[in-house]
Amino acid sequence: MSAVELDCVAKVYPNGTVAVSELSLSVDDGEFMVLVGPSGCGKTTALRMVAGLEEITSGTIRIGDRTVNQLAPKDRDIAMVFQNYALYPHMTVAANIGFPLQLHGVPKDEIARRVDEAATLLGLEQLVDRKPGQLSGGQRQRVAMGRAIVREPSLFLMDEPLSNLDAKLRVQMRAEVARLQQRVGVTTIYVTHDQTEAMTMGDRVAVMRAGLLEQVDTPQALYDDPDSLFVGAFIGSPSMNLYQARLDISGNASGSIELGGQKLGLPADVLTSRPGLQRYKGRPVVVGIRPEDLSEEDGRSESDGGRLKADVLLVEALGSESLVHFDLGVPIFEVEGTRSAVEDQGDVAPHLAGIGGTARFGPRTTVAVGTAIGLRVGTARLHFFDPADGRAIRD
Amino acid sequence: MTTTTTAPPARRFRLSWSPRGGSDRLRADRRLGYLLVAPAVVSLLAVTGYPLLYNLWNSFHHENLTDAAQAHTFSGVSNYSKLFSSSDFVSSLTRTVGFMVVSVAFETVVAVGLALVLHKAFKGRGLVRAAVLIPWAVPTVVSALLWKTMFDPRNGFVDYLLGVFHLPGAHTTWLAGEWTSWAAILVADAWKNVPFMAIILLAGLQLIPDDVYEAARIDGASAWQSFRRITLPLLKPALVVALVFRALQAFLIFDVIFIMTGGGPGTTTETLSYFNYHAFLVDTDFGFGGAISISLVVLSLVIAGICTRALRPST
Ligand SMILES: Nc1ncnc2c1ncn2[C@@H]1O[C@H](COP(=O)(O)OP(=O)(O)O)[C@@H](O)[C@H]1O
Ligand SMILES: [Mg+2]
Repeated sequence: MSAVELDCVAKVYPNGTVAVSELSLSVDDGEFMVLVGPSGCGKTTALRMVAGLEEITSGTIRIGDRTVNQLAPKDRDIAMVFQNYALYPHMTVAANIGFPLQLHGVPKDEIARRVDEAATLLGLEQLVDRKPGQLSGGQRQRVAMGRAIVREPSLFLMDEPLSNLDAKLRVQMRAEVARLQQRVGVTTIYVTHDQTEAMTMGDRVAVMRAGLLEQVDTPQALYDDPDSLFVGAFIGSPSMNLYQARLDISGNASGSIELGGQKLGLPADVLTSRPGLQRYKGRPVVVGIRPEDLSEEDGRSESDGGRLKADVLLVEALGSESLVHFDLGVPIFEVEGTRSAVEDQGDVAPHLAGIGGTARFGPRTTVAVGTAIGLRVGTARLHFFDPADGRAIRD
Repeated sequence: MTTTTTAPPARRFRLSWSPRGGSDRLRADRRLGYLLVAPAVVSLLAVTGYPLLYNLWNSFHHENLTDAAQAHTFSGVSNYSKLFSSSDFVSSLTRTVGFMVVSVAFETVVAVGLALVLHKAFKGRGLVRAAVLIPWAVPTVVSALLWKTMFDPRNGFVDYLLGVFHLPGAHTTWLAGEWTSWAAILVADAWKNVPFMAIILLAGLQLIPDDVYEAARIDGASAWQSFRRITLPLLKPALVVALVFRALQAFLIFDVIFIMTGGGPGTTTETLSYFNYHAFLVDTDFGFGGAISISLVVLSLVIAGICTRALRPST
């Protein structure tokens, strides 16, 4: 086990593509770090540089106390799980798992014992004599995991290891991989484009965008406190509702934002907890509202003024909750690179993408499509971003 | 071979289902199948089946043009017994098998190397890949003549080059000695056939996914181990194809030898095909020649069987 440190690591491919720029990231000993971001943002490239499969253009990578820039992959004491598993098609499951041990000159009987152990841990006992071609996707995935853990390396690298599985198996393997990692306690860097995977599996999550690191934090902190519009829009499902609005602050510390034709009152504590907002007085900001911070107006409390009117476009009853898609009369603020990720996950009916927003209501809501409703806004949990540079406005 | 077949008339879609309809359709399908393969089968029978049967018939009859008296009379197995007791047959068989083993082994090693080089990414790879095939596209008669000239001690390129680099053998009269003749034949044959083998192997290499190699690198494989444990086993199917082709071609080698050495010096480079040619066209003994031909066919089948069996991927 060892910590991993990336210091200003960059990768420029021979054709001039800048895949990763100035990536600095430290992964603690035993930590499960998830690298997440839309497709093409450089996750795989970053991981392959750590593995030694891709040359590092600049910067340094340390694993444990060694700088590994010049080390061959086999000398880095790592194991990797590939997206397509990369099993050896001509070897049995047992031979696949035992191959790294064989290459390291481990005695035969010890190989047999450790392969046995790994196979048992992964529920592969019955399959050890099969070839990869005779296995299902999930089983292949397990063999790939087995080949990785049998070495007891100091670092696991995984590149979208679950993306080739069907949805149900993916959810199951998500838990299995996380459990396995906890059990063996090996430092892990896990790449995915799926924010749900990132949120559920990672001790910490590093969000990448276009070769740059946007933010690294625990899943909860990323969700509650995104540093940027991109992270706000990318993390969370259904994603954060984002609108461009004009901020008005009256002299006595309370204020309001103008959203389309509507005014949303901001109590004083919203402004005092985000002193940075003062600089945006009378200027446009991007306001972000998580779907669960919108609730059904029940006509009882009208005190805080955090209230918006919207037309209901679609109600998706999911059993445990209902997703209410609505139109505020304001277009969604588009954040480049997040749209496709959200659509990938099928969170938004395609014809609704780009308009309106989503609220998370209780399962027994009675709102009907086509009606106008009142939305109560949890103003304390609003997010504000600079529309130009996308940074969160806090202090 | 090209054959033109007219498209079968589109079958009308059957709306009513009858228990007999299925078997009717099955029979129609089968008839269509036979019809479609018929041109190929007929041509094959004409070009291989007929000569085969003709030779088989000849091999059991007296068919020597210099002996008209006994023409077409049944000879029993006398042609075969003459063949199997002939020292010329045994020695040419030995030479042929020897050449086959040595040349195929040599060509395989070179072809694997060439395929590995061609598989690497480099500038102008497409051009090089195409250029490599040129020797293969040259007719053997032409390439054999070319090499005969190259091995000429006075005007040839080979001795000249050896001389320039002060290598041993610069004054060799290649085609005058038994072993030097074989060396020259080997080189000429390899020059023509290695590219073909390399291209087949290259196709095999391209089927091996990159990430398997990357996994091996991470698992700790050296370049040699990755070649031994990953490339070779996964290349086996392509190797089998290339080996069977080449082994049979080498076993039946004729044109290179005919042009370069004429079987000489003496009979030291006479192979089975050359022996066969001699029986047919020099001695004009079609019965004896037929017996040799039939033996060649049987031996070829045995060789093909051995190659495929020996290299069958273990399941
Ligand atoms: N071998 C390569 N040569 C040139 N460009 C590449 C190569 N591999 C990836 N890229 C480019 O680098 C960028 C990052 O790719 P990648 O790391 O695979 O992204 P991700 O894994 O996040 O989807 C992409 O724009 C991709 O097209
Ligand atoms: Mg990738």
